[in-house]
Formats: sequence, C-alpha cells, structure tokens
Amino acid sequence: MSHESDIARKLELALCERLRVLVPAQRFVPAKGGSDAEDAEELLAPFTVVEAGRDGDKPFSDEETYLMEVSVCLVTQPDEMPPSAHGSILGNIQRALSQIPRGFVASQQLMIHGCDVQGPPRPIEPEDAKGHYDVFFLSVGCSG
Amino acid sequence: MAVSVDALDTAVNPMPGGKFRDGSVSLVVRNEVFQDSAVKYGDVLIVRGEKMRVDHISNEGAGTRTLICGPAAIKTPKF
Repeated sequence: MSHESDIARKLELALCERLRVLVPAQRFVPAKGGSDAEDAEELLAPFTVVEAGRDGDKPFSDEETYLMEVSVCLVTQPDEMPPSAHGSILGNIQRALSQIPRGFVASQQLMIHGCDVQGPPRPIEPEDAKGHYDVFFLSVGCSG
Repeated sequence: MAVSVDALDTAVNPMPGGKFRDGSVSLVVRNEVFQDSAVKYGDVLIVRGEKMRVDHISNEGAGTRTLICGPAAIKTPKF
C-alpha cells in the first residue's frame, strides 16, 4: 500500500470516528468498509460513506502534509424515509462537518490540520438509482 | 400463502462503504392473499430467509398478482 493510500484510509477512519461523535444517530462508514478490527459488512440505508481520494496533493516537498479531497455521501431509502427526514440528517451532517476539530486523532496516529467544506451538498442521481443521495465535498489537510 | 415462489438467487458484491446483497425473485399470490396482506410497492418481504423489496406488482394472471422483488438494500453510487 502506498503512503497516500495509507493516509487516505487513516483519514476516512479518523473522519468517521469524529463524525460518529458529532452525529451519533447516523452511521458513518469508510469507503473500503469495516474498521481496523472488523471487515466490511452488508449495509442497509440510511448510512453515510466517507471516501478520501487516493491521490492526495503533497504541496510541501519537505513536509509530510497532504491535501486530500474527501466526499461524504448520505444514502437513504425513499420508501422508508421521507425527504424531510433525509434533509434533517443532511443538516446534521453539514453542521458536523463544519465542526470537525483540528488536532491529533490518536486511534489513527493522524494529525488533522484543517477541513474546508466546499459548498452545500450536491444531490446525485445515478441511472439505476433507487436511493436518495447527497454528497458533500471537502478538502482536508492532514499528516501522519 | 403464495401460489408459487421462484428460486431465489442472491449474490453479495462489494460497494463503497461495505457490501451489497443483490438478487431478485417473483412470487405469485392469490388476489385474496394480496388484498389481506396489504402489500405495496416498496415494502420489504422476507423471501426464503432473505429481505427483498417489492419493485413491481402485476395482475396478469387470473385471480392472482405477481410480486416482483429486488434487493432490500441500495447501492452506494459511484460519482
């Protein structure tokens, strides 16, 4: 595994950990699923997938700091959740993303230097969509 | 009680965030059973031990309805 992939996985796990504290009622999972201790499992909506890009920028050649592009995708089942409830969860996630604390995440040995949420969530409609999907995009500076 | 239930074919595939159980099955039920059950589009049924969601209901047969079911879960999209 390259160092960038390693950082991406650590960042996904760290963000999931922090988001679970800020929005305890919602399920956050890293893109590759599972955790350090558990394998990926079958998911039933609602859940939120946190995915860090595998090719993070390293703006300073003499520092181990990466600028990672991250997506946070809320997935709900329209048959089981009205749009108002989806919107309510989305609001909670948006507030949580704006409150992600900087600092060291001991469980992942990762330093989060800052997090910039790029605008409001964007709805996406895949061709074979059966769900209701909204994605936040953010840039995160981290080192570890 | 169903008049007939297809063989159930499911497969577990990886998706971003975890795994997705895909599959499909159709059930033929008598009209009285259909009405008494009040089953509707989007409901989740347990078919041969698996959770399946009603995707389509047709009334092509005489005195029966066919419930065409897909996976209860939904996939994480790629974007």
